[in-house]
Amino acid sequence: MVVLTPVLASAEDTFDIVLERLQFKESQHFHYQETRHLALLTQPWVATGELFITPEGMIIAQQSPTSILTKITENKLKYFDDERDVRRSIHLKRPFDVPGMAPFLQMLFRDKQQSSPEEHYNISFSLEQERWLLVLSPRLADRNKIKAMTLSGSQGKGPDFLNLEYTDGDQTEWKLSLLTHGHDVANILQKALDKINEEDDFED
Amino acid sequence: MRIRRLSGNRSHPDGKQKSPEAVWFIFVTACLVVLAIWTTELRTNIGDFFFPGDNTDSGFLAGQIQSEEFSRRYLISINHTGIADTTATKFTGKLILQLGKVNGVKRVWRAQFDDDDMGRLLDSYQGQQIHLFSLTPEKDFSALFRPEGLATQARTVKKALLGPDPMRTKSILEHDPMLLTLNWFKKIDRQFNHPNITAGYTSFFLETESSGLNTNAQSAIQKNLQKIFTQVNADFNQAFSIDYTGVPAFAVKIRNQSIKDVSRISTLSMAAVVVLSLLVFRSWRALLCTALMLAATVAVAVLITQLIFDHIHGLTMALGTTLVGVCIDYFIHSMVHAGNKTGKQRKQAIRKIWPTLITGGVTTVIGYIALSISGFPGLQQVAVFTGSGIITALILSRFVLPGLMELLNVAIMPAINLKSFLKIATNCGLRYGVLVMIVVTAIIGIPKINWGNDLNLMTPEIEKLKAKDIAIRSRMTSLQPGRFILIEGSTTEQALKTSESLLPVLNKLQAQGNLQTFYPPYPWLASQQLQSRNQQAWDAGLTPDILQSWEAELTNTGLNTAALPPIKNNSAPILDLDRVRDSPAWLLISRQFMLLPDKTTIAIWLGKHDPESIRSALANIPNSRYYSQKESIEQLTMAYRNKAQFMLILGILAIFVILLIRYRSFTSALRALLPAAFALLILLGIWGLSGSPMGMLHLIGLLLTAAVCVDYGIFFIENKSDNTTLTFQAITVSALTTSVAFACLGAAENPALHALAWTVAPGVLAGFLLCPLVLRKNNQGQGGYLNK
Repeated sequence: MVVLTPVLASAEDTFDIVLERLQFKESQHFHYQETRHLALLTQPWVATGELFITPEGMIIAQQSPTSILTKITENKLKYFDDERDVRRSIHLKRPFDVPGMAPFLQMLFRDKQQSSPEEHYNISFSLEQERWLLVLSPRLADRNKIKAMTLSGSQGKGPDFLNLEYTDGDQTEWKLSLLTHGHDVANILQKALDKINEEDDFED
Repeated sequence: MRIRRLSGNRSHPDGKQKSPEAVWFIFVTACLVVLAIWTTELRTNIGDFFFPGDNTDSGFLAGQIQSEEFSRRYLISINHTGIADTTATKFTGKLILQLGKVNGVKRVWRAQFDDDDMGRLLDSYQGQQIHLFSLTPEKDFSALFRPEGLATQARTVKKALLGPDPMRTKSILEHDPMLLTLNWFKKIDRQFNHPNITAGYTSFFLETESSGLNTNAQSAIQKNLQKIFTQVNADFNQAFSIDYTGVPAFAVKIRNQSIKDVSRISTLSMAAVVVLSLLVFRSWRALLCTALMLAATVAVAVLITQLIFDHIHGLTMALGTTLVGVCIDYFIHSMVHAGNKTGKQRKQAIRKIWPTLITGGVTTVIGYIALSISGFPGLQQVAVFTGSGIITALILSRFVLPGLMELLNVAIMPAINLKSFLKIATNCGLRYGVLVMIVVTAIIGIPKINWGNDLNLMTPEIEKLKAKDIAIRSRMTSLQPGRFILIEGSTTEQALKTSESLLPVLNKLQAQGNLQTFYPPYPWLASQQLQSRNQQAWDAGLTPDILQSWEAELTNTGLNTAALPPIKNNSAPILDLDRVRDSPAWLLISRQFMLLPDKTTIAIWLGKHDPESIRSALANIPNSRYYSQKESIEQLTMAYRNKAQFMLILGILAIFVILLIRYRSFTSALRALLPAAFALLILLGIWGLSGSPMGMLHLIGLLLTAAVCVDYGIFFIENKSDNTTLTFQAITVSALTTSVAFACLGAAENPALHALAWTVAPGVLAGFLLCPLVLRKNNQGQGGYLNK
């Protein structure tokens, strides 16, 4: 079921416009701040870094508190923790079914999905104080135990805030600031990957 | 040699005195043929044919091939070189989905576990993190419970929570508050992330409901596999290609080739024998008579082999068709001697040559008995098949043939004029010239014999299939195919203990750079002894002080102790093999276990390694050894060849002893052997000069040649009819039919049969041509050729 809040003015964002805007069109380069609120931690945990959205998927280059690189493609998640010398490769059974990030990635790469997000999530759309807001909640019990995902951004712009709420009450927030988009992103990303590839076979 | 006009069939005065036994014989033959066709189970299992059960190394291979679970699996490889990863994933996903729906397919799974599989794996090992913690639990738990150990573990918990899958971490923490599962997972992680896996290929497994050796079912599945692949590939512009391997693929290929060979050889040899018989006898009645005798002989041979072995191998049938060529000798020899006689005279004529036939038959059977004790399992069947056929043929020749000839009104006389040949052959100059030439050829050629490894020839197309198998497997793993460490134990527990004792040795080799990687059963499974030690070390270490220190470390790390379950004594049951077999892990490790009621064999797969270092490291560890499939097969081949050489000599000696007993004369026994001996010499000499590799199969061919040629020597020197020309006519027809039957093996696709064809066919021809050349008339004894 898609619940649509009435659109107040024709110039304002609508569900369809936002959905269209979310879908990948060109590479984007963000600065991000991730905050995890976990019951098992005495303090919220904060990480910052750069996030790239490319035609193949997403690359998260965490810079603090430690350097960690995560590469997500349609069928694989590769995780490289420089400090702990941990390398993980997870084969994804469904496209972009990354624990925690699945709804966001599936909306970004809708054309690579076998089904639309509406089939798996109840989606509500609203406009509040010059910002659009999308809330997705799984129709069925989610394997990744996500209760709801909230995505929002300024009117006429892409997303700058993502909040994942888990069934056990834990939450993860992402704050995104767009740095560049278009062709420049590929060069920046390539430099970042080249630096990593000198030391490791991170790339396929 | 010149063929003259035949005398054809004749009616005779006793023609109306039909033998009731002969009528019964025809009826019984029909029943036997029907029974043989009805009850015969034709198998093409390569393991049955090649690997003796008395050798553990080959037994492991045979066991792997015969293992129900293993034999039902295909390894399928999709080539998507140059195609986008995402497109390849879509294609493979669709193909796997479609293949999973095929009738007879039990399951299809990827060579690499996906996230869901990993979840199921972790679920199935829940609670085992303490039992499988370490190979040296006392030391490692002690280290864990030290302040720095606890601090490290607390940091591990936090990092995992902040890693790529916090939800899974939280789920594990509910049962494993110290997250020891991660220690276990790190050890098995390399199983999922093999280095050097070829890019551009995706591999997955397909398991069928029916046995891999059920070639009818597997053939249907392979057709469906190809059909579905083509359909799915059509949606992707035929961009992908497929390869598959596994026991079912081998079995179907070999079955198809065996069936093709059996039908081709039997049709061809039957046709050749029919044409030859008609040419020589120009009598349909004689042909019918021979055909009935052969049908009865083959049916009895099939039934006896089936009775003893419960099945007949395809290669036995292919080799067994030469039985036609061997047994027909006795019928033809009898028919020629009795062909122009009737009634009692006919019976007397056959009775007269019966001792000669018996001697010939016994010497031939001895050749086949020697084959059966050569140690090659498949040849035991061939020996039983042909041996029982020869005995049947001898009995039929003596007791049924006269009546049958009477019933069918057969009267024949081979129209081959051999007088001129016999005259030339007995010319002393020619005789000595030929003999000197043979001896010189043998002296020059035999030292040049190129002994080759021809065991691989026994499996048609097996080399190509093996190469493909290695290529496909190398795309998904860095394992060295066909090389591993074998560990034996009277129980699984014992084998596991030995494998655990090996691990420090292998770790050392790895550190020295002599072993890239290795895949033992631990930590998928550990011996009960090791699990108990882990349990005890854990329980002993959980003192109140430690519990307090752990809580302090959690707090220091920023973890909320109130939200984490407390650590406590482990109450989970010890992991046993049955539980592992029920877990997704079994898909990965089942091939490493061969479980028999009285023995368990475990294989430790190896990555790139230095064989000598591994061998010497294992030298002092009982019940373990380095195994190389290639070397093992080479050793097996050499052992077979040595045994075949020994059997060839032993067989000829045994034949000589029989002749000695029969003739009570050393010279006569030797003379009966001479044509066969010279035939072997010339074959060996020519083979050596040609430079072609000669192996076990050629030796077997030589043994058969000797066994058959000795018959001709016996027939010739005994000359029971006191008519050298008639005897030689009979031998000529026999030798021609035998040669033709063996030469037909050359039409097979299986190159193993070529080796026999091109040894026995020319050998038999040489043996019969040498009879008048080698054997001189001495006017002393019966028939003029025997020394009394």
